[in-house]
Amino acid sequence: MAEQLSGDPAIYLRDGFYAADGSMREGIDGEHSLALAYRLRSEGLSLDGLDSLLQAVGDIVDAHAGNDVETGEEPISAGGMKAFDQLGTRPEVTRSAALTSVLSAAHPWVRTWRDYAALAIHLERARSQLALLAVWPQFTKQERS
Amino acid sequence: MTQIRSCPPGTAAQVTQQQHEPAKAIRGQTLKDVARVRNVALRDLQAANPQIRNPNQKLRAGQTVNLPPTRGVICKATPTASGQSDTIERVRPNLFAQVTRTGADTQPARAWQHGNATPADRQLRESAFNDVMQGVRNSGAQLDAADRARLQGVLEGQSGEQLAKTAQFFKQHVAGSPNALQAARTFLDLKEKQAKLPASVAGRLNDETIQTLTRAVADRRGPALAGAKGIMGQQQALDAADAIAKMSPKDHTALDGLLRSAGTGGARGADPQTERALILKAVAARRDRIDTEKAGRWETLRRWAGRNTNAMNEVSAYAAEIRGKPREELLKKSTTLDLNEDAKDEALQQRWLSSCGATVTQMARAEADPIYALDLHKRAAEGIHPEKITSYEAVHKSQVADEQKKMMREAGVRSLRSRGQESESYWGTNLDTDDKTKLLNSHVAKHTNKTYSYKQVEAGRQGLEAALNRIDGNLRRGGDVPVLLKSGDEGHYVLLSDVRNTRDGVKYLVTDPWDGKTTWVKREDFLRGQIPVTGGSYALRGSFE
Repeated sequence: MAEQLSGDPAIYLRDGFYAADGSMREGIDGEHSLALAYRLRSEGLSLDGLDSLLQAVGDIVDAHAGNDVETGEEPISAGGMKAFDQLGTRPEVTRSAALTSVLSAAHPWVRTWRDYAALAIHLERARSQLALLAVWPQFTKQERS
Repeated sequence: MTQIRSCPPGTAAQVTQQQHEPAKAIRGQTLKDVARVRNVALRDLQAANPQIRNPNQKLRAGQTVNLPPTRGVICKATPTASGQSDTIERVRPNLFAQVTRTGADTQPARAWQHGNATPADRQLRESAFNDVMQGVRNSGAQLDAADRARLQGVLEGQSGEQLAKTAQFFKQHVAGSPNALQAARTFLDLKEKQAKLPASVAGRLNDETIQTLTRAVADRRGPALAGAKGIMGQQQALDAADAIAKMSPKDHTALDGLLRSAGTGGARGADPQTERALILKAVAARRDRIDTEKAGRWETLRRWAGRNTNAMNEVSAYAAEIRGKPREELLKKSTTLDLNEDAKDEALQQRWLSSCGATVTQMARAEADPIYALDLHKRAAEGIHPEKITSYEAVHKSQVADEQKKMMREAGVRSLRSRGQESESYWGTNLDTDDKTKLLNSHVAKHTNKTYSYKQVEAGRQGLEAALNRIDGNLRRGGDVPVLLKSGDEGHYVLLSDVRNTRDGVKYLVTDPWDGKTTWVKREDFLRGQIPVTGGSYALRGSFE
């Protein structure tokens, strides 16, 4: 549990996005997204910054997942993979250790559109949690104790 | 009373008596209410129901109330030279005007093709057909020959238990409905869709689902005439069917579970059918987000990852929230209009002097999407219709008012005056028709699955007739039509949500966001340019369809 809540993508993504039964691993769109949102807030990433990344994530789907992609089990084309790799060079990613670690931990596991969808959902969920955190006051250590 | 005193030349008067199926009381209704709603004299209703001694006594939900027969006069045409005769029946109106041509238009469109059917099946088919015809006729409408032929085709394709179930369904749920025509057409359209579905999803639009959707169109939303419209419109039922056919297996499993658990574990008065109707209405309002072919990239990504769409998650949360709630409460919170005509102001009101356009946008969206309607009720902590519309709470502490303000800002309107500042010389800026069209397309279109455009009324009576005929068509298919009224230089947006043929002619149900009143206005008043709203007299200038 402590491992799960560490918020380190290298740990919670060490076995990929999906469990053996094919379902998305617990926490990918739950506590791990929340932990990511906390990290992003502490890094000072704005909602606009994350929105910009999510827009790029979505654009890759529009540009590279054609009408042939039906179930998501189809492999991502070379062009799609190249575009995915380039996400890591975006300014909001290079400025954020949290986003960099998520993308690098996810990279070995993203082969099909279904894998890509899991990553996208993870980030999108973190975005909605970051939006919620934005309206909560940020307590200092002293206040927390 | 529209009973005719004499018959047109060339016809002979013949007195007739028409029997009616008993009515089912809605919980809390009294005999007096039934008399008012059915438009029959209380003394006649009491005579037909001697077992109910006190006309003010509250009836049980579903309690049978016998309806007195209506007497009328048939003007039977004398045979013409060609040997054909025509009959025009004019009976005392029951709920609606019944000036209906009988004869050819209530008869089968073609000879029955019974094949090897048993005599019992033949009889069932014909009686089911007659029940539908009678129901449609009672609602003041008629099925055209093409629809009658379609109905015959459906009935001819059924036999035995399935046919008996269909016949029973028509008798119970379509024949007595003021929306019998729309319900019958919905049923026929859905049966056609069912036949065309690919085998992989054919089971999704089964007879049970078709009946649920047809009932959603047939079942009225309240006992008063303003509540005569179905919970869903005809087009919404078809949109729901499309969504069901094209949603992902994951979403379909979720929806199936929601429909099965409707009405369970709740209070007395819970009504599974009403819950199912509202759940399916919510699905229809999200058709394009649920449909795997039309869904946007994020809903598609969720599907690829084996998740329910966010749209279906919204429907699931809604279903859980309404589960087991009494029918009356469900219906009240699924609209922002005043549908019970109880002389209390209950429709949503504009909180700013010039926010009628924004308020009508909220109303139109709420009429299409029960989730948004419920949300408005929850957000209007001070009530959809606050005690005092000019109070500080009703305007400055209200999320409903805030949303109206946001919509006005979105349309570029910067200057707003709150209610209570009527004496000011400047009332703020109203939306022009372009702004209003944009608002409808950004807030309502995604729930009604259509694109709005403004249609200005052409000058003259012919132009008005043409506009009203078009609006009629939209309303009869279950849509709502925002319209622009004018009185001198002053413009005002209101919502039209129903049309009925009444004994006083055709009437439109108009909801005025200024005073929150929902009232019937005669077509003649529209044609004369004397639409009585907000205490003034307005003319129809255009509609958003």
